[in-house]
Amino acid sequence: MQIAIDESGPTAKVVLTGRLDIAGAEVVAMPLATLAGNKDNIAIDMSGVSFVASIGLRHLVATAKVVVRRGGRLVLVDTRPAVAEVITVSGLADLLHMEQA
Amino acid sequence: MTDRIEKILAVDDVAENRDILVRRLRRLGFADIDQAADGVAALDAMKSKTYDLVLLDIMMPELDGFGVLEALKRDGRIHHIPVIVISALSEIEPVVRCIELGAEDFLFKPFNPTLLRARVLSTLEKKALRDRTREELKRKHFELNEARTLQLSLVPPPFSGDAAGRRLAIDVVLEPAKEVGGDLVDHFRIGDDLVVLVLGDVSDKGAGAALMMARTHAMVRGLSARPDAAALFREPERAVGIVNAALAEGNAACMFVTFVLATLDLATGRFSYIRAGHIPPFHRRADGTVARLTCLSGPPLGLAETAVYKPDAVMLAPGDRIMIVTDGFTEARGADGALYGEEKIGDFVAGLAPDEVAPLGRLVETIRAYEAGQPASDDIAAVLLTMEPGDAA
Repeated sequence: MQIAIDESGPTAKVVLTGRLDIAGAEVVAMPLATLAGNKDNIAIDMSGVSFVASIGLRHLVATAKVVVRRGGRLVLVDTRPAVAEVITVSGLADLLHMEQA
Repeated sequence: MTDRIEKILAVDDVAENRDILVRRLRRLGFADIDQAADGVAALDAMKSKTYDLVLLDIMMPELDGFGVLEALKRDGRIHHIPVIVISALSEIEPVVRCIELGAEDFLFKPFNPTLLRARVLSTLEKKALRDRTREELKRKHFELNEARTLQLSLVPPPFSGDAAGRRLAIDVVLEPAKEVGGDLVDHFRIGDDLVVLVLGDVSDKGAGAALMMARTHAMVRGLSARPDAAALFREPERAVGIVNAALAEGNAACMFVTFVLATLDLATGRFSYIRAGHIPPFHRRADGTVARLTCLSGPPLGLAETAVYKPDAVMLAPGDRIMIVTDGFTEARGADGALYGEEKIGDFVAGLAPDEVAPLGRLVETIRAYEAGQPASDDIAAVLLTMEPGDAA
């Protein structure tokens, strides 16, 4: 799992590539948590995420909650169908807004 | 001099060598030092006393250093007693052979006091670390196994018998992937008419998830003991709302629980349920068709304190079955990496013989066979309710 963050604009752009499993979640935990503390608007490019486990979902959800609590917004962009389905079926689609670019 | 408590055995056939060694060790602060003049005497001494370190000469009569090491290797004691072999400067090969037999380190004689000090102290430090780690692991393992026993005891046994005029069977299974896990399964009666099924999956594995599982389990049971429990569980969205609010409070780690709570009214056959982000349950009708209970009532528990859950209901007739599983079943990985999948679970339920009311053990075996010996990747839990055809006997 690789994470790339661009904080230059008003909306922070995050690009995730790989599997958001236990190992992948460990890679993104700290950067996402730090980002959530600084930025009100975060867009996560999910086109490169092939798999997401509940531990990975937890980190995405935690990030979303922190941002939303401050009145901000987190969106997942270009989520792959299989991953989108996991998010929808898990009832998390309201917290993790999904959009197509 | 610092008083060291370690017990040392010095083995050398030449008395003068033993004396020098013992004197040097005493100067390092060691007080409990025994001596042996050959391998036989050394093994004898080790029979009645557990030494923390043995300094072993190689060339000795009766039984040499190799013989002592072989004896220690045979009964496994070499793994608990560090041995430093002592050799004359010209003998590298014997030292190598001793290391291969399990000696920890070596020293050349005549002793350099600095080297003696360094080797002895570092060997003892290594042993202390190893012993501490071993003890710690043993203790943790014991504790976790205790916790496992407790967690498994939270699951009620399967039920088969008469309930409010109907023949009912409930099969149940829970197998954490590690010692403890985050899957939850429960079933209980409220009064005569209501049967409640509970199945949950905490978003993690291990001890933290097990704690969340236990909290959730206890809260549901707590609600079932309220005087208004029957009314509360007839509207399962209310019960789930209360549990969710409690779990969401102060949940900074955002651990969540995908959840199914269902109440069957035996008098009417009405099966009302809440599905909070969990795999849709399977509803097998008496005619053999399998439908899914797809209503998405709301988010998993623990995330949104004020979430309101939407209930749904189906009517169950005699011969119907309801199966609820956690994703440990559907996401079990085969040898080729492919997931077991929801379809196969549906087929399993569809293919059950009418009198088979406790088949979950067989399903678990199928999953394990599918995983082909790989360690379990996730906790598994399932509950199967069967309304048997015909009235109660």
